Amino acid sequence: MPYPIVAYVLLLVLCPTIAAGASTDLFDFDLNAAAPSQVDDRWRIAGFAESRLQYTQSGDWLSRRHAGQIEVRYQHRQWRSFVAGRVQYDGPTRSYSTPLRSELVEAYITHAGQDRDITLGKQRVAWGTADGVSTIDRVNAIDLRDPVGNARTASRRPSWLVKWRQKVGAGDLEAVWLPRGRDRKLPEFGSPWEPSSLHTLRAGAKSNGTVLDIRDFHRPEGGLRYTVYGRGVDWGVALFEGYTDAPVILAATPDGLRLSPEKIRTWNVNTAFAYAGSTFRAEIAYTPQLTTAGTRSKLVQAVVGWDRTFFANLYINVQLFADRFTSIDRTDQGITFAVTNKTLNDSVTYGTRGQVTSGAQSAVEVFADYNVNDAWLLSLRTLKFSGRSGTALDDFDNNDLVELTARWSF
Amino acid sequence: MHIRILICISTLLLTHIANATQLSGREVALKMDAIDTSSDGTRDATMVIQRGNQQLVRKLAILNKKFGEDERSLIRFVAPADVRDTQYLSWTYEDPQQEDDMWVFFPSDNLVRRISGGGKKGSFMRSDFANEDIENRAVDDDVHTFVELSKLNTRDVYVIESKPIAAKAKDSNYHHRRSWVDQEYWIPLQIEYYDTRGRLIKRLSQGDIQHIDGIWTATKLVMETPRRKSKTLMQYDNVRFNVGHATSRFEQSALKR
Repeated sequence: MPYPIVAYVLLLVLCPTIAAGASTDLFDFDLNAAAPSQVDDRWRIAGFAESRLQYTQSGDWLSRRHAGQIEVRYQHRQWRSFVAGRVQYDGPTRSYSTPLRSELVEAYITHAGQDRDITLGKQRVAWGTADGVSTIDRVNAIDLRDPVGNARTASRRPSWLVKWRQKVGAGDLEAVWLPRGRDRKLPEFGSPWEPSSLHTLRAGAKSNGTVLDIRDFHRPEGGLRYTVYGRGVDWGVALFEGYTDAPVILAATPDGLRLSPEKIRTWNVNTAFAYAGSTFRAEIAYTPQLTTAGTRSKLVQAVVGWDRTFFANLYINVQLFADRFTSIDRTDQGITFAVTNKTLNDSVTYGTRGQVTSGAQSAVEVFADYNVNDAWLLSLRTLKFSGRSGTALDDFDNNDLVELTARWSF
Repeated sequence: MHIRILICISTLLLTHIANATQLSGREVALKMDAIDTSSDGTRDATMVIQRGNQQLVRKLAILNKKFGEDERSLIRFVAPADVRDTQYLSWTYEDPQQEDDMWVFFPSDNLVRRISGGGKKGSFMRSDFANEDIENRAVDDDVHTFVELSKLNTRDVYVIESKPIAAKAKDSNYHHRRSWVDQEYWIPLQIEYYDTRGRLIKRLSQGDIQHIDGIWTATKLVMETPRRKSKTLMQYDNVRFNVGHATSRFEQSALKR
């Protein structure tokens, strides 16, 4: 057989093999070798170690918090349990607090059925559809010792509760009962997060030798909500009956002064819907009685929000809110916002968040989060507070800070 | 002479048969859409993103269920640790005018939150896949055009070009996609993604095709972005179809830790 014909035949025989070989090589990998963990582990242990350094504009360390958190989850059939514990050491808080703290963050067990769930234990529960400022996110108390989640949201403390969810019609009815109320924590005397009014009272009591009884009732609180998640729109109604986060009722006693939270009841209607690539959110709430500026008043609150992602990652979130105290003819209004984007193959998320409210109050944050790899996160942010004299955010005027956080998750 | 006439007739006959069996772009798309005859399914996915010296690993559990022509899917992130237990629930509709519904569950806040589909152009977990690449895409979200019959790695394929309809174009990174669709499995063995200037953005290769519960399934995917010198390997394990998921698994009450 002539040489060209032999070569041609060989080529015909080999080509598919070569092609098939190339094709096989492309898929010659086993990713389970790279990531051997099972997706459906019954037991799971996770957690993180974190160092957060906060340095103020006035040249002081606000915080050098080193924390470790362990989370254990066990799931078997319809039963789920979750426990998270934390230990932290924060040296600069030594002058007003205990620098070494351990805490049970969450601990609960859930029986999850198709139409009903029941949960017992300590759990974070978020209610409402609005971002930034919500009128009904009351199941968990704001952590007044370290209140800043970010410039537009507060950090919250999980509550001991009994929670029942039942499917009713097209939606879910959820009832929560907090037998010991919410887990309130007041800022310590001398803490940078202590409101000036509270500090004045405490300082006065110390200098005068009078008794200042700050009550944390541990009285039961609870709420009910019905939520429908549907095609195109979510809506819900909710009721929460409990007490304010901060003690606002000051009363004279034979021994001195007593400061206690105020009982409140809040009715809420909320919705969220998507339209033309945007999400719109709204809440209206009514609280029949709340003390503000020493006067009891009815409070009507409204929140309207819009958020959308433009291009690939540019995210904008704007929310307007208004609190109308009808009995004293006062309206507080404001705006919360977030503008974020991503860069460097999405490893860096950067942007600004904040709120501007009545009394020329504002809290504005500029931040950048860098995902170094799957385990390490570095965050840098600046946070600035301002407000007219006597306003809540003016109290934090000296807390303008630069924060660096390194977190290792496992 | 007789032989020449016979060859001519044979050629004409073969051409006629070929033309008769040639499908339009939309017919090929419908064939692809019809290959998954299951009512629901489940799978675990592992992604390894290779970018320079960096290697990122992601693990997901994916469930889906069909409701007539519409579909609901639930994605739960298993790794990395900082997004573990984050879940995405999406209800996608065959009607291109109907906006998809999506919710995300944030485990740290125990919060279910409605989100919009505006982020479809963004990267899926920092991989070479965009969010729009992994979503269920309805046949008529694109206009499909037949390009040619060809071969890819010895396999007979249809080559079709798919261009998003006007209503979907604004949510897409791509001007068009070119797919090499296997004529036996009706699975695209390769998809190339192009921008408005006709430049290649990404290339997806699908392989290790297995017959699982009676359905041909590509279990290994490689998405390459040549300009970024980046590559994402994806592998599906524990793939099962017709497992009988309860409808409640695709409701918001199922989003929990």
